[in-house]
Amino acid sequence: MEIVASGAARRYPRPMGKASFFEAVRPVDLTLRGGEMTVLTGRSGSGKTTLLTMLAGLLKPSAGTVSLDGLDIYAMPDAELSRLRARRFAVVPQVAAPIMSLNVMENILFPAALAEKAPPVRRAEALMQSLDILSLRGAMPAELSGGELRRMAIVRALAAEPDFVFADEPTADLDDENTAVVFSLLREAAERGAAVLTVTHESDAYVYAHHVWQMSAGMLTQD
Amino acid sequence: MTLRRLPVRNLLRRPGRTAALTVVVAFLALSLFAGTVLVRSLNSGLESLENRLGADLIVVPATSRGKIDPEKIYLQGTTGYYYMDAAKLEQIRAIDGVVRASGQVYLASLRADCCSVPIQVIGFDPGTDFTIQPWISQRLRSELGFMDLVVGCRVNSAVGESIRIYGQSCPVVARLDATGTGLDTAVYCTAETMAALLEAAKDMNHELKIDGDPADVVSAIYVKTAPGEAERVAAKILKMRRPKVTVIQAKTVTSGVEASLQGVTRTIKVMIVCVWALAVILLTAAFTLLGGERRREFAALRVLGLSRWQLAGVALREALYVSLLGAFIGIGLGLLFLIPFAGLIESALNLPYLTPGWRTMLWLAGLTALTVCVVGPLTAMVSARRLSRPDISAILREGS
Ligand SMILES: Nc1ncnc2c1ncn2[C@@H]1O[C@H](COP(=O)(O)OP(=O)(O)OP(=O)(O)O)[C@@H](O)[C@H]1O
Ligand SMILES: [Mg+2]
Repeated sequence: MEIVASGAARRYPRPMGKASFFEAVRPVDLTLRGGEMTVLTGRSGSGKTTLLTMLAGLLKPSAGTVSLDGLDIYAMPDAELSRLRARRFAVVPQVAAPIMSLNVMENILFPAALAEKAPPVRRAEALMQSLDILSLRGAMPAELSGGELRRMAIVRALAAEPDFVFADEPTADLDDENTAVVFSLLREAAERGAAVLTVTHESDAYVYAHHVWQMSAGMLTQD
Repeated sequence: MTLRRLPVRNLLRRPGRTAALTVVVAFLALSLFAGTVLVRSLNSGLESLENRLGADLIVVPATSRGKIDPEKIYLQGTTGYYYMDAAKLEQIRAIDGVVRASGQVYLASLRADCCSVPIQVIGFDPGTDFTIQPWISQRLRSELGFMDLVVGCRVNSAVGESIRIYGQSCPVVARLDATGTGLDTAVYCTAETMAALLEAAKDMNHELKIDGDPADVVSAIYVKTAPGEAERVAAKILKMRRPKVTVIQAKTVTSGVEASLQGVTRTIKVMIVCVWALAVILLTAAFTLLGGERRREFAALRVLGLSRWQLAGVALREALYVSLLGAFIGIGLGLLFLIPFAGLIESALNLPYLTPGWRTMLWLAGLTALTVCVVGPLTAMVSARRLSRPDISAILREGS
């Protein structure tokens, strides 16, 4: 069970010096394996989010491929790729993206419903407990703080036990205590067998990682 | 919580927005439904008028000219007190080209105890009549007996009750279907009954301007001519010895009605088109504007694994629910306004107006609902398509 990016690159049409393109991600080779946690760091604007969204099936590379167990995911029709994302992928986006009309618990159970799995209520409650948002289960997203929304997004990603977890700066608005909890939860997911990719600026994350990659100006280097 | 319930939740989260959209859709439904019903009612009003008045000519006393508006006789069925010698009937029958001729006698009573409005009594000759009986026979199987009355649908007397006219008690034996004209407020009887009523009126010193025997007068003579002969026969009638009559040609009246009917119909249609154009623009704009506000939310759903189709489905279902609700309200308002005020509409338009039966009404309501429920989601389609293929990563990069 692995996701492989080979020569995956992304350019945006923006005049940069002589070129009319700006290369946000230069051709990258990267493999995310089940059971492993990969941490990706780098300066702002270096292309981390761009790479993560390409790996998560949300952004088609302008060159190269991303494949899941040998199948090019961007060659799939939208319905199939969407189903794949619903059943096996989970993303914690860099910005909060709750479903505004659903309360916290419904948001958290929504991916399982979409994947037609039984609602993982117990697991969701345990995760909420460990991130200290259990009391918010009936609250609406509009009532939550940035950090609470972030923690909700993490629980939502982990509750349905996905095969692939993509977390983009999951600890950006969190205190140290919650930050540590989040990294250990992500590590747990990897230990359970998932492939986990975490983008973060926190060097604390390295101790939880199997691999640490560095991004700068769209290029990937291993630490 | 499943995807199926998401559209409803989205609608409930923004009650103001949902209500505004619903109001627009309700206007759409109301205009279409009410407009269609109006046009239909007018058309069937004219149709029933033409069917019923099988006469090509109506001959009335010349003395009554000025008091008689030919259009009124045809359209409203308004009658009055005017009488001429029944011998004219024989003279007219003798004219070449006349297929049928039958006299009618009118009487208006202000003292009937049935209703607040004065009722008109129309007496016809069962032996020769060809305009009233075909219509009466739909409701009355047996012959109309002496002193029996048949009432128009808007006379407030039920079958089995009696109406007092000039002291005479007359049983109501049948009630007619609506025609959408003043004939609905009239009461019908045989010439024999009418003669008795006129006699009674005379006994009660009611001024009727009749010279001679009430049994020998007619108020109007309905004439059916051979095809294409109407004009020639009309001319001949006026050339009779001492005619003292006015001849009303049905065609001039009905064609006049048809013309104004077409005018009204066209106005209604233009109004429907305008309301729809406006509403469709409004809806499309509303959905598009609201769509912008919801890009982030839609991107979030995509991230969770909704396909483009599923996402479009959410947006379209929202539009569909709004449309259903709006259609329901609009059609409901239409019914509320059209059914009780049919009479007012008729007198305001001054045209024969016949509200369709409930079957047709139901069918029109269904058709309206269907149209609205197709058009509503179609207007949402534009923004749904745009929303369903967002550059997810770009949207998620935007700060809130
Ligand atoms: N849709 C786009 N159009 C044009 N340029 C883009 C687009 N998306 C990203 N970029 C550019 O690509 C570069 C990489 O962006 P990306 O979001 O991947 O950076 P990042 O490493 O995640 O940064 P941060 O740590 O601030 O989140 C940036 O310079 C950004 O301006
Ligand atoms: Mg980023």
